[in-house]
Amino acid sequence: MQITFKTSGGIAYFPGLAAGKTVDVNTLPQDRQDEIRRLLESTKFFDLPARTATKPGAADYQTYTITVTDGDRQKTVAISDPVPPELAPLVDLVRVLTGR
Amino acid sequence: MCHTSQRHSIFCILPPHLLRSIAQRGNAEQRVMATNTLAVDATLRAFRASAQTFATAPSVDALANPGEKRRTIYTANHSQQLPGQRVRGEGDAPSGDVAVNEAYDGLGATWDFFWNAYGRNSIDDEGMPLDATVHFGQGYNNAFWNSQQMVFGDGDGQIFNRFTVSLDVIGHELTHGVTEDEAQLAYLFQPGALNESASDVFGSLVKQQRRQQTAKDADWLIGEGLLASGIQGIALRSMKEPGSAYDDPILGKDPQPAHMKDFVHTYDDNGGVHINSGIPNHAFYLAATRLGGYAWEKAGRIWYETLRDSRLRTNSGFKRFATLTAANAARLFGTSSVEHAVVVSAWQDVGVAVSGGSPALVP
Repeated sequence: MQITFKTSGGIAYFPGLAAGKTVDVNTLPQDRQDEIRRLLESTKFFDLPARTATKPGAADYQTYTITVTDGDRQKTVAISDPVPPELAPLVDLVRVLTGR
Repeated sequence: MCHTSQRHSIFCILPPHLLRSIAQRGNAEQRVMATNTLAVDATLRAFRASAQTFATAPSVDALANPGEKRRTIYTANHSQQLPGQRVRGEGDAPSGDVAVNEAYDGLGATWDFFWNAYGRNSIDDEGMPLDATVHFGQGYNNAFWNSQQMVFGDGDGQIFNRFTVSLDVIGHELTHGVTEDEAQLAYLFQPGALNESASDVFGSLVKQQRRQQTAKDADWLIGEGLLASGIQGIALRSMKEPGSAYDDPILGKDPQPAHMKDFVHTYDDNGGVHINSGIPNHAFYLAATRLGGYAWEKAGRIWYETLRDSRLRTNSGFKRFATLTAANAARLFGTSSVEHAVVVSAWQDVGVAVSGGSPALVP
């Protein structure tokens, strides 16, 4: 399983962060693998809408784009600030795993 | 309006014809109260009537207390709940928390700037209270204005330091509120880049006024001190040399152009709002440094009046904005003034031709 994390928007545009970074989940320690699989399941990641609703007055909000490839399944979800509480643990973990 | 101690609650529910009757026939105290109530009511009625032509009317609070800042700082305690726990109000002693104090001082410096430079009473020019939440999220790498308040992350310490560290960033975010109140520039493509540029211009001027720096002495950097020590860069953006703020393995290279020939066509970043803002940013820098002195006095005044100009539309692009800055320079300083000529030349030097005709004819 591979996970790609991209960040765009926010107070500045950084090409390096927008280009994104991919981690191979299978190379992570087992507890991290379990944690990510548990969060993908509890958030029903593969059934999420492709984009969370953006609110007005959204100058400098950030958008986090997470792509998960698992076997022949692939799903991309764009999540904008303010991150819905149910998705925050997933966004935080993926950010840490990708060093972004 | 009926919560003030000077007004008896009964006067808040009486219809105007009864109030007029009391004003004529009541005892001395009743007559004063009824007359005051009628006066305020008439004012509010006039505001309501004029609301058909003006979007908002000043609040009674703002009329009663012109030029008073009201700051409240909250902490989210690393959650994402807003506004969080209140930690410092207006006039309270400094907290032991540096982020709280930086937010408090930054909101104050921004309020002072708009009041001192342009007589603007807070974000909405009606004395809007300034609220901010610090310690938002876990190592959260951003700061934003959500139409009601400021929100600051602590940064992850790897890429970013805490977001209260740069005064111009605080000024930048609050200026988004000013732009939303005045021009409603759409946050997309060229109008979005103008929206971003307005925030950089006034964010930088907040810092310059606080430091009492002339245009020549200012660093014209946005977000100095925000990049963590391991990052190869000095700031988020440079208005003096767009594209030179950072070049780093993680962040990539600062993509800002300084001239229309390098305009970036992209669907990323809301159509390049933080990228192409380099062009109007540099035009402002050129105008301000050529005019000399304190940048908020002439160039800043011209840009501020342009932001308030009703001919600036939600979908205006660079050419219309530039033409309106020239029109406002002519209005403020004269059509054959140095100021007008400098503004026109500044835009020309970033590749934006200022139309000589009426601004109304420019798309």
